[in-house]
Amino acid sequence: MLREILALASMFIKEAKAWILVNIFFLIIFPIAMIFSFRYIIAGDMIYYLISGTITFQIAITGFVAVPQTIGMDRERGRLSLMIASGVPAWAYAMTSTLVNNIMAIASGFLIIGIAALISSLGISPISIVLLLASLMAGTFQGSMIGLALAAKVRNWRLLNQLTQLLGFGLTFFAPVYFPLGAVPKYLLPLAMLEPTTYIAQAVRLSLTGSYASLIWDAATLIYGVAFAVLADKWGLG
Amino acid sequence: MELAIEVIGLRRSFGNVLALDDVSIKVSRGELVSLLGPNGAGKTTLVRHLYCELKPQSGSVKVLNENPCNRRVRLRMGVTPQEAEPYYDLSVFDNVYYAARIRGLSSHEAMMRAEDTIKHLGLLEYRDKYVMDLSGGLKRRTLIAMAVAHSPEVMVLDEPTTGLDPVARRELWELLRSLKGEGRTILLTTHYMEEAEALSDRVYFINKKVIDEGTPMELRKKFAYYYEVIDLETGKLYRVKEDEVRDFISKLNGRFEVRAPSLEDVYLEVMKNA
Repeated sequence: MLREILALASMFIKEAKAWILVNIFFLIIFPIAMIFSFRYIIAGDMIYYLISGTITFQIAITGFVAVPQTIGMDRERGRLSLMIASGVPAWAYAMTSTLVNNIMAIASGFLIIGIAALISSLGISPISIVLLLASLMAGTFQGSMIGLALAAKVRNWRLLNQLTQLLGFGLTFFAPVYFPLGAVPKYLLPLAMLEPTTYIAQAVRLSLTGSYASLIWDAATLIYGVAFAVLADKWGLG
Repeated sequence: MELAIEVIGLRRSFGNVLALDDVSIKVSRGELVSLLGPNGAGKTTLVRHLYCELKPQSGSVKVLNENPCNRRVRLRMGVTPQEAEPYYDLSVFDNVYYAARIRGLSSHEAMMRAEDTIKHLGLLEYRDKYVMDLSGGLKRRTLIAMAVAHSPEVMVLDEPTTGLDPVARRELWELLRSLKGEGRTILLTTHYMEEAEALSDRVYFINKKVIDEGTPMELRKKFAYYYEVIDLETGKLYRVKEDEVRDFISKLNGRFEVRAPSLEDVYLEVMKNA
C-alpha cells in the first residue's frame, strides 16, 4: 500500500502545478505582505501574535478550505469512486491529498518565521524551531481532520465551498489568533475555546517564544483533531 | 461455466428509500452482460457494491469468487464509475500511467502498459494532451484506458456512453467489443436499448429488483406475440397479433414492413407491467 500511496502523492504533486500560482500567493506572497504591512503598527512582543496569527491563518486556509474542497471536488467528479474501485481506500486517498496540501503549509510556516526574522530581527532559538515543527504538525493534522469531517458531512459541493471559506476566514479573524486569549471577554471565552484555531494559535505563539507550554496546546490541538478524525470516519467520505 | 460476478439476494436501502430488493445476478467469465433500467432503478447502487463503495445490508456479492472489498479482487477489476472524470490537469498518458501505478505496478511496467493501452485505444495522438482539452468521447476513452491499463479480468462500466454523440458511442462500442474479444468479462449499465442489444450476451431488466433476464433474442421472442406492421404507403403503424399477420398484410395495398418488437418495445412492456 505504501508504494501506491507514494504513487498517489506523486500524482497530486504533478497535478498541483495547475494551481501553483494560487499556492504561491497564499502560502508565500500573502504572508510576506501581512508581516511587511503590519509590523509598522505592531509594537514589542505583539509581533509574535502577528506571526503566529499568520501561520495559523495558513493552516486554517489549508485545513478548512483546501482539504475539504479538494475532496469535495474529487467526490463530485467521481474520482473518489474511481480510486475506491482501483483498490485505494477513501481514507488513504484523503490522507495523501491532505499530506500534499500540508507540505506547502508547513513549509510556509517556516518561511514566515524566516521573513519575520529578517524584517523584524526576531530572535528565534533552535528549540523554538523544534517546538514550532511540532505545533505545525499538530495544527495541520487538526485542521485537515476538521476539513475531512466537513467534506464527509456536507455532500453539496457548492455549500461545502462556501462553508469552508467562511470557516477558514471566520475561525482566523473571529478567534484569538491575532490577539491574546486574555483579551477575549469572559463571556465569550467558552466560545473561543470551542474554536479550533484558538489551540493552534496559542501553540504556535508559545513555540515561537521557546516555551514548553506550547506542548500542552499541541496536545489539545491533537485531541481536537482526533475527535474530528473519528467523526470523518463515522460519516464516511465515499 | 465459471462465474465472474455473483450477486445473491442483495438488498439495500438509503434511509426509508429502498434502492435494491433481493437482487440476484450472475455473470459468467467472458460474458458481456448489460443492466437496463430507468433512472433510479438501482443500477448504479448495484454497481457500487461490486467495487465495494457500498457494502451489502443483506445478501452477498462476489467477484472472481471473492468479496470485492478484498483489495486484491479490485486489482483484478477495471471500473469506470458513473460520471467519473479523469484528472483534468494531467495528460492522457499521466492519467493512464498513474492508474496503473496505484494498482501496484512498478514504474517501468506502468509506463509500458500505459503506452500500450494508449496505442490500443486509439489515443496516441492525444497522449500528451491535458484531459481538460479533450472532447467528451476522448475523456471517456481515457477513463476506459485507466480502467484497462492493468489488464483486468473483469470490467464494470457504469453508463460509459451517456452523453456521447452517436459517432463517439459507436467508437466506444467497437472498443468494448474488442475488450470482450480479448476474453474480458464486462458488466455494463446503460439507458440505450440498441446499445444493450448490439453488445450484450445477456441483459437484466432492473427496477429495484430483477424484472426479467435473458439474451436479447430470448427477451424479444418472449414478447413476440405481436408484430409491428408499417404500411409504407401511408406511414401508419399497426400492432398485429402473431396469428393474424398473414391475413393483415394480404389486405394491404403496396409496400409494407413487418418487424418483431425491438428490445426497447420489450423493455417498455416489461417496465409497464413491473
